[in-house]
Amino acid sequence: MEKALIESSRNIAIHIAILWVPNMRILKMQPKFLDKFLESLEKFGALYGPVHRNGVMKYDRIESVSELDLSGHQLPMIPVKKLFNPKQFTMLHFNEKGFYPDYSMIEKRVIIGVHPCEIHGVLRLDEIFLNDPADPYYAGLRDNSAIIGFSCWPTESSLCKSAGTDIVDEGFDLFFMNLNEFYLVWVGSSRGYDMIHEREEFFEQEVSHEDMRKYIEWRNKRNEVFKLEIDFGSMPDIMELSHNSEVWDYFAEKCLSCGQCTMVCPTCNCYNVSDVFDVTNETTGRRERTWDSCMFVDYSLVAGGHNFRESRADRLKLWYTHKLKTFGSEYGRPGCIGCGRCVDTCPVDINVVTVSQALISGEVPKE
Amino acid sequence: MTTQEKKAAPKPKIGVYGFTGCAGDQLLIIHTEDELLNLFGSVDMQSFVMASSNPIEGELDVAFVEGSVSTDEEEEHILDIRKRAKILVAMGNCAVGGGPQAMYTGDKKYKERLQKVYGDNVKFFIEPVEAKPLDAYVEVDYYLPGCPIDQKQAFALITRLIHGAVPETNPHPVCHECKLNETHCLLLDKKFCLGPLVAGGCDSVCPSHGLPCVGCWGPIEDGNFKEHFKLLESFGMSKKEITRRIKNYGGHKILQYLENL
Ligand code: SF4
Ligand code: SF4
Ligand code: SF4
Ligand code: SF4
Repeated sequence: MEKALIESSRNIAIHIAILWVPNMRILKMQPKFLDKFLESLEKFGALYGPVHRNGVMKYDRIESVSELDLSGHQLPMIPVKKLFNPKQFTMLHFNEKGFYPDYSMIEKRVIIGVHPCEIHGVLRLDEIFLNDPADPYYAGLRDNSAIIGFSCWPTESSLCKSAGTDIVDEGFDLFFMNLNEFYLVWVGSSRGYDMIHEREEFFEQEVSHEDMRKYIEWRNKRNEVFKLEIDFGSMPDIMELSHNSEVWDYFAEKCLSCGQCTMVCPTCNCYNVSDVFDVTNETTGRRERTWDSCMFVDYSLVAGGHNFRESRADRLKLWYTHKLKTFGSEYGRPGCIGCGRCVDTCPVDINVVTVSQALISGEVPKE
Repeated sequence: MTTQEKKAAPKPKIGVYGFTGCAGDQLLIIHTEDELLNLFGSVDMQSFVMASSNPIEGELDVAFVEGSVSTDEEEEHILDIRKRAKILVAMGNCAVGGGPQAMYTGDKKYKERLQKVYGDNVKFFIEPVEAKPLDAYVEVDYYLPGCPIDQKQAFALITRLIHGAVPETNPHPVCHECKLNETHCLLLDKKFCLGPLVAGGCDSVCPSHGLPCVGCWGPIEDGNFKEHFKLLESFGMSKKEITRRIKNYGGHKILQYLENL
């Protein structure tokens, strides 16, 4: 008991330190104001968020905030990355004189209900797409989108605690922490301030010590529910040592090369481009960009017919080495943000948990 | 106007032919109303009996052939077309893989089956042969799978050929499009679906409507047949049943993939 108390007061101290980051402010809001407030955000752009369509949860444009599922108990099948790096779009139009970029899909948007791990996912994609030379489509969509984060509850597959992505202190305009009785609202950007400013009457400026205690309690309770865990810190070394491991052959035999793991992983970002001519014999057409996957056989095929990673084992090795080692050495943090989607998606149970466990133990999973 | 500004590609001489099949692929082209006039405007259509009479049968830049080779007349015809065409495109599942009529091709029981269906001493108008895809007889340059072919995929290939560019093939499974369409995977509910073994291009229409992919675009070379069979068997299906369903559309070509299961 005493230990718990000390623990929790230490937590509070840490939290107060985090919360008092310059420019980061916390407010309080009563649940009854939530819908009204979210509706008011329409002024800042078209509203998007997690909704259920044909039995699948997806981020989509909404007509009314009542469509949103903000319970935090589920992640949309396809991550929020699709709103910044669209699955399929026309990049440019061309004719014999030149080409003309098409930015028509860039619009002002407010994306509501983004979980912490998803926000971390977007921050990792920023490293890839916004580094010089920035991808103008991604940058345009990113600049024009506000992110309204929402707290969540772990699922059976969540790994965000291991990945250190279960909380987030940047990458959002506002963040709503749902403590049932009330929301704590973090303000993360000047756009966030403008949003609050519009409906100041909904927010309480004073967050008491008692409110913070409830928040810490919620966090502690939440920390208890995680079922899965990965020691991400040791993975780069393990990957290094496992280059010739038989484990890869085991998984390669199983893998259906369906590419689903790539489509659902928030940090996978590869795409292919293809020029499509108009139906005329003049030189006019468009260039289309579509998500690709390194799990597909033609991914590493180059001119002349050489394929660097024709075998399934090599493809899998690339995917996992990128997530667990190379991404980290390039950008400082692993390419896995622990969302658990690969765990829920792969039809033959190849995922970041089964693969890392097999590599650590050197033993393949029991059938 | 300088030649630099206006560089229209010369109109290629095209022929469209139908062998044994339902003519659905030719129909699909004709039914592409938005593009049909543009198509006829940008090629020199020599022969397309379904769309216009008075065909001219001479040298061709591109021949599109639908249907399987199922009579000795068709056998001669495909050899003739191949001789006349610089590029030959197999159009639709029957031309690409043999179609449902080639479901049992290669089982060495063709004569028996023919007799069972048509009886003894039948006099055929045109002598039938065991149904096979075009490439059982001639070299095919490009494949346009589908049952019927997909408008978007077909026109992407046709326009590439009009411009003398190399068409792109799609070696990705149906699952790719299935996820781009944000569709729930049937396999996760332990339900039958052939998606991972089947070439994409249909925009995953079946899974998007909650139905399993039955493989009408034909097999992809990269398909992990062994493991997928194992997975479907673990859902309680027998190997025989899976094989039957996969053969339905897989036609002749699927056989080589089923050999070592
Ligand atoms: S690891 Fe799983 S989800 Fe990924 S391609 Fe292989 S079978 Fe598909
Ligand atoms: S590897 Fe798996 S758990 Fe990690 S971010 Fe990708 S989908 Fe999520
Ligand atoms: S439903 Fe079928 S096509 Fe879609 S992902 Fe699953 S196996 Fe592939
Ligand atoms: S999902 Fe499969 S069966 Fe359905 S149209 Fe596509 S390839 Fe054919």
